[in-house]
Amino acid sequence: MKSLIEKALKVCDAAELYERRVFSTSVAMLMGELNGIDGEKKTEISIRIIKDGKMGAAIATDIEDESLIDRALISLTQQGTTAEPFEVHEPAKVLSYSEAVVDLSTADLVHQIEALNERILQLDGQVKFGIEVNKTLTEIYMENSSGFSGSYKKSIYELGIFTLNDKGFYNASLEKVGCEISDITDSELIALLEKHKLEQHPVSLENEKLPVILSGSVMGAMMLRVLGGVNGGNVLKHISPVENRMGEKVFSENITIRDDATYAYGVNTMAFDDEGTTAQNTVIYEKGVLKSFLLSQSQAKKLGLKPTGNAIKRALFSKEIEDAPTVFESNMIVEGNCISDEGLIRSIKRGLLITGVMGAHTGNIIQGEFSLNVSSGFLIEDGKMVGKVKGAMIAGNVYELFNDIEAIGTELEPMRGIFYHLGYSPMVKFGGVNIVGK
Amino acid sequence: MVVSELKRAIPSDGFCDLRYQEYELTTIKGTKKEIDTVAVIKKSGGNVRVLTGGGFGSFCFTDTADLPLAFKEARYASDLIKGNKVLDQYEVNVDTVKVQPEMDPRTIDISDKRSLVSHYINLFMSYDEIVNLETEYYEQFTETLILNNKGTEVSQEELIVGINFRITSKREALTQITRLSLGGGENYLDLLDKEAEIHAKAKQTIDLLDAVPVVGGNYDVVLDSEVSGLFIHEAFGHLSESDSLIGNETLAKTMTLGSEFASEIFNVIDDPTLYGYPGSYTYDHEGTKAKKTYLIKEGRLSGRLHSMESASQLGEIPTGHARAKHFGFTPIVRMGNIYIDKGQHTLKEMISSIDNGLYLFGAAGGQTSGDTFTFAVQGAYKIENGELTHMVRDLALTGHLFSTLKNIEMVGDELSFSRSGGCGKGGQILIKSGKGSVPIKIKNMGIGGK
Repeated sequence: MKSLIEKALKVCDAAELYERRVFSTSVAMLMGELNGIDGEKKTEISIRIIKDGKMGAAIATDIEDESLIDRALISLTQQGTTAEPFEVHEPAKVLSYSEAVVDLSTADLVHQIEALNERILQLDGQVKFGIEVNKTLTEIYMENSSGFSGSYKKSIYELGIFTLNDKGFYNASLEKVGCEISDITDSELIALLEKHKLEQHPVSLENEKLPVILSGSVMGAMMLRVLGGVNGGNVLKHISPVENRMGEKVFSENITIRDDATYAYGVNTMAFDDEGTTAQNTVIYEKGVLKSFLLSQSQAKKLGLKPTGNAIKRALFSKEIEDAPTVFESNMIVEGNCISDEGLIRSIKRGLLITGVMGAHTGNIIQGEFSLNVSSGFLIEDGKMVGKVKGAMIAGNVYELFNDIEAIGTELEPMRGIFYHLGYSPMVKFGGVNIVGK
Repeated sequence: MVVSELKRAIPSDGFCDLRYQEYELTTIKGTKKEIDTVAVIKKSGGNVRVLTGGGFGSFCFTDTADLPLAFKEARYASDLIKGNKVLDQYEVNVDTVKVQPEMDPRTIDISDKRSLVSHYINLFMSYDEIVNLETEYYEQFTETLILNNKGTEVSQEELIVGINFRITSKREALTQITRLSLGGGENYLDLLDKEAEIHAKAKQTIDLLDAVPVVGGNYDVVLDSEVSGLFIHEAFGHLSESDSLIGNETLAKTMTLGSEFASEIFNVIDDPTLYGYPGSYTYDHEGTKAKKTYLIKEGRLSGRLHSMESASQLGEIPTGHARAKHFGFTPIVRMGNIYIDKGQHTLKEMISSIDNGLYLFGAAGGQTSGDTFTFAVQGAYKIENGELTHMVRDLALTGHLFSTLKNIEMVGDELSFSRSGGCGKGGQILIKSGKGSVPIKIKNMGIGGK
């Protein structure tokens, strides 16, 4: 790495090198039969350079790529981005690595998936389902010419189960993700199978306003919109709806949202972000009051604030190095006025539990608007789930919806963004949501 | 690494293949009036697959020194899968495909590309009520070598160039968003002289501020070509990707060839061999020659999109639709250019047949979950007594595939293709996936507002 920085410094004033090595194995099973095992060992390199106060960047898969510095110079000349000097921070000590995950062989993953398959069949011999398991080891190395030098390792273990309805389409699902091996309990499997069976009781809704519980997973669709508002890039471009609302109560006092890159064994836990900023726990909304934006180093300088360690080299639909670092979430954590998940469901006389939505990537996300198909939702009557909702949509704006939070559950679920996980949330109960029914 | 060395590395037993790819992506991205980033990304690597056991083992790598490791790991993985899966449907092809655009974007200086993008940005931003603009110029060139131990040796270049705009207008608290895409083929010429399209889109985005919010409910609707293309891609296209049928007998039964899906006026085709659209290519990433495939013919399910594996499993012919984003991914079944074929009705006839409905224009993203789909549109015109009246905004659609297909009452006579590619599946966003359509009329469609 040092030699590439030295080479770069012959044509520029400052340089930063970032290297990511990824090793992963994925195993998939459908209806009791393994249908493929995929592995990878790949390296990605990214360089950023500063010359005459301007920044340029380039990406490669080979550190020997002769064109890397030339391409960074093209970027520097063309984009004309004003550069801030590379900074030096101390990497945080985080729990992001589990030897137990790394030690799992492909055969171990196959045995795990086969054992889980048997457990599900013991509970219900008729259900049609699939299981997917993935383990990933990532090694990050980073250096810059200002003196920063850091590295960390990260393991990810991801497990998903889905059931199929009698036409062969996706029905109910359950997923776990984190840096450690996750276990799925029998009670979680039983809850999954109960939701699966509600397919036999389809219900249609009118156009109506109902109390709604969003599962932790579905909260990810809402969190994309929350992130749009507090993304430092959107604040600086004056397109954030909360640009001028720092310190104000924007959401219900029943919700606190933080972005915690130090969260132990979290899906997006890291020691430092892709600019080298120390990982931190940033409270974004505390009891509904806006406390912080998420900022890269240059954004923080422009706003006279401190960077939050959220500059990541990825894109919305890709976790490969696709771009210069821009603001993304680490582990978004939703907390608040908690009552038990069972208590939340019992508290509803007539309403919905929504566990899956489609269309999270459409609409005016930055302004908080959503219009989502309920792909997996259950009608609750007198505190019990009585049927699966067919053909309904929910629509609204998070800046209204999040003022109507009545309570928050206790069991954390991974929040699903579009392809990826945004962190963890329990289920959240809203007082009234507009449903587009028949 | 030279081809002969790569060929020597491929084991002889079972079915083994190797795809080695050099990938180059040039992007110019902007927000509002500013150009934020200019990047030239280069990545290279390979993906190997081995079928010696009950299923494919695959392994991807970026360092060619890892090629023996990749085959060893893929072989080990395949042998871990119980059974003995046989691939009996495959083509052996030996060919070299080079791109030959009329104006090759790779020959244009990057500062000229930047100037073009800046020129279009300035046109949009000259309107006071356009408050935000996200712009992306993309130029993706890949050089792929596909080898297998049955004799295939295909070397193929692929090139796609385009500009995507996402335009936001605002008046007081109301915002509206539209999209415009230019290019989508391999010819830089297709990006030039588009000022009239930009002015028209800017005006439409501002006009939407005067539109009334849609009242949610069920309407008879006419979908313009772009919305129809998105509809057929999301609602039906993904179901025609037959890798989802492997091991899923109930879905395979639902998708029995010959089943009546729509009225006999309705025809759906996927054709990667058309020139100049986002989903155009000659060979897929298994080295199978792409084939024009009828998916629905006269209302009946008549075909599906295949990889070698899905074709072998179902005893059908590989159609050349197994593709990957790049070397970092295993090929999965993807649409090429899917479209609804021409029917007999003019747009005017369709609109005049509706007393109270909507004419929907402009796609704005969608998603499917098997038999249900959802997608957003940029806007609509109200149809009253057979005439277009005022503009309507904030629309999203949802529906059940099978009932919606049966509700298609009229099929238009003017076919056009979207300039915008892109489709996500299995964690892979594939730019080179295209869609097109004629306008269609659907009765009783569920429309939700925001």
